[in-house]
Amino acid sequence: MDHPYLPILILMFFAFIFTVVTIIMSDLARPSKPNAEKNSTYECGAPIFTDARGMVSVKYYIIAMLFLLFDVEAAFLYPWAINYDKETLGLFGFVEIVIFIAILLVGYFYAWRKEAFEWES
Amino acid sequence: MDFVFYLFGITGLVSAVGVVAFRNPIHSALALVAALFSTAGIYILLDAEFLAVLEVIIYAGAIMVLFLFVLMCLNIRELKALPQFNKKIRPFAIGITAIFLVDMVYLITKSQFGVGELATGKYTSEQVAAIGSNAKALGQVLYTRYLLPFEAISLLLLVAMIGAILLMKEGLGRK
Amino acid sequence: MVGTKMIETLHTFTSGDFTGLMPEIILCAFVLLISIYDFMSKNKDKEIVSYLTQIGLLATLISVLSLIGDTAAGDKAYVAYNGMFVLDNFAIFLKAVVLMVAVMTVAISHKYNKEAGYESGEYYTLIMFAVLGMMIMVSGGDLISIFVGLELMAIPCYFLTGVFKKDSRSIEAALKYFLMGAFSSAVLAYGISFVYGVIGSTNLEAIASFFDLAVIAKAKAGVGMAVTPEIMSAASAELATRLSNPIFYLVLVLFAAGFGFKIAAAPFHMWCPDVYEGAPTPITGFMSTAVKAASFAIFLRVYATGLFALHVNWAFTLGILSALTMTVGNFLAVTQKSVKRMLAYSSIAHAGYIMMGLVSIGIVTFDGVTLSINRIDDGMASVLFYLVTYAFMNLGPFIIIMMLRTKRNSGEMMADFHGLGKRAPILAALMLLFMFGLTGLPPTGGFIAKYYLFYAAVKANFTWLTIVACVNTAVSAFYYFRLGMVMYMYEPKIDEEINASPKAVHAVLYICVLVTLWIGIFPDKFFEAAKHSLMRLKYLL
Repeated sequence: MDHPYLPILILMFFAFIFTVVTIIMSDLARPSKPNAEKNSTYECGAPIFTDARGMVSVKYYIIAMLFLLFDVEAAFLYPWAINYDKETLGLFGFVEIVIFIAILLVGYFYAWRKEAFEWES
Repeated sequence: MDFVFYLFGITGLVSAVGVVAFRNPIHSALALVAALFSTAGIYILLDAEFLAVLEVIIYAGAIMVLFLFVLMCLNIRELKALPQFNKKIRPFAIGITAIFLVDMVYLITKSQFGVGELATGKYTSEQVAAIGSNAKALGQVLYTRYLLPFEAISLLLLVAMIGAILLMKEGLGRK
Repeated sequence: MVGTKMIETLHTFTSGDFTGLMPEIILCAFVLLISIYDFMSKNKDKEIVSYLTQIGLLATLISVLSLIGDTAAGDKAYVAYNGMFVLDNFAIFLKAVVLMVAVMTVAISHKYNKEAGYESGEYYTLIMFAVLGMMIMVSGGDLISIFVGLELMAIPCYFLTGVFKKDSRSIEAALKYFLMGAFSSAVLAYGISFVYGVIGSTNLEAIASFFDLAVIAKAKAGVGMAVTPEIMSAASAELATRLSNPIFYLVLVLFAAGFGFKIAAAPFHMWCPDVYEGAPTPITGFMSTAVKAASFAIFLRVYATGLFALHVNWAFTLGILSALTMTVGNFLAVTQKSVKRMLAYSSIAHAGYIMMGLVSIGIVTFDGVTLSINRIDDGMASVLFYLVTYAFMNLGPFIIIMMLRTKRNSGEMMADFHGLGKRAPILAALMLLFMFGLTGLPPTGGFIAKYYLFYAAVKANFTWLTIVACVNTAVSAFYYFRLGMVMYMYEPKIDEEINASPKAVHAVLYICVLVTLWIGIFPDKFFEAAKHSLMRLKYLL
């Protein structure tokens, strides 16, 4: 057991245990006297004005979709970036990634032009 | 090491079942996050750190954000009221899945993997360590041998962007 | 510096990389420029975009056709980008068909979309993207590039289905298509991962050589050593274990499901009627011809090269699927009240017929020592021949449906066809001709195409399948001719005048008619072309 990621596993284990133990401990230790006021949702002290499960605008979908697409694009840049070196990919890789980004840039301007980034309308 | 594999395997499977079984879609989404993290753990055991990181960044990150935003666009109360399965097809669906599962397990356990002349490629764990890192090895193969599919993927992302905005445009443009 | 070593060698470009890929590069340049022009221009009328798209597709078509001379002589084919891209006559043939269908689709779309109130430039660019995907796919020499091409074809189609976004049928169809399509792609990708797990490569050539006795023997003997009889028998034993590796059953099941979805083979056909009905009619025509032809082509390429050695394992199963597909398609088509939906089911049935040609590509036997592959060239050529014929004779009816749309009627229902013989004698006559073709009657190309398929199936010992297909043809005659009866023997139900269609629509309709008849009367040239292009299929076993 000398895997380099072992410490992370151990950390995850302790994080899990800590969470579970804290919840159980506080549940055992605290007095339980609920009333309607205590059970209501706490929203920074302000009264709640709508149900949390209402529907939100479809604009959020576009934002998430664009985030996902550019995230995938960025994911392709990591392995390129660490290989961008005279001895490895070099100019070849540079031209390659420029084409890749140029094609996606068309999409970026498309989204811009179609006001996908505009929030107020 | 086996223990860790089974740990991730079991949490992955249990949470994957949870994705399908929970009635509240938000719970399903959270179970999906757990399933994706377990998969990432298995990738790490396979010395594929880069894939593990991508699994977390793209799947558990961006795709989950998309899922949750889509759920927010829907009326969850109504969703919960819907029957999860069409009652009539449930036995049929479970039956087919069970048969397929048994077949798959049987075939996979009986099969030989990595038997061809090409099966042992250049990228052994030692070789990857010699280059530097997993991501580096992936980059080297992605930007040379898979040059054409790589460029085609940018077109794929572009199409997804154009299509998504096209279908949503009505709700976006200035009136 | 630590760890700057490079294992892979950088790609060294050869002339084939540019010459072979020229049509794709041209189309890609056009699609990007047209996209930019479209979203920069303030012009609401997209007629110019539609013309530009046609110019782009025609330019690509010309560059595809100009490549024929390069590959026709000898066995020359471009294998470019480390085997990712293969340009053989097979690919050129399919690319030409797909591009022709795409040009025709774009030509008929503009007025239709404008009248429906859904004019958008993206409609045209998405068609171009789909065509680009098909071109990459039919030229795929590696399962990875095939998969990427397949997705590039499929994703624009999902959007194109839903482009009439205030029509709930269109949106429902798009959603269904997308969900099922995404799932089937995942299934296909899963299958590809198993191939990689066993063979260590996704290249079609590598998969073919995995089952090649000579290659195994050479590998066993070692570099530069002679192959002795002992090594040969060891290689035979190795080949036997490879052929019986159970994982290939799973791979074949997953591939059949993945590809079967794209061609709408039963039991993966459920999406097809809803999608074909909900999509804008020109797109329905496009999907049932171009998308289907490209999907079948790649099905054929994968199964006739890499997986040909496993023919024994997949032929019978696909034969059953074929019988099931044509039966389901034809019997359900009988009950339809919407002509568009009827044609959707008929398109499922035709997928069944074409699969019959797919299983009859040869007879493969393994006697314990050597693997002998007896190709049935006519069987393979009959698939391509059918795809071309079907592309033209199935686009025609959709164009007629489109032309029958009026202010109050969709033109899609049986009622719209009542008494068409009196309302529009020419359209009725052409529709009848297409119905003849789809049934498989002379003098149309449908007859010859079906004849070749049946002939090939008998030759490949699939007589039972041929009988099923004959019975099915009889059933299909019932609903195709019922439409003819409705057109000529019933009184018109609709008193609206049929709108005048633009010249382009008429031109495309007549091209479909002429090609259908031409193939029917002079099939030899077409069949030779199909056969010739197949014999040049790279890595054909």
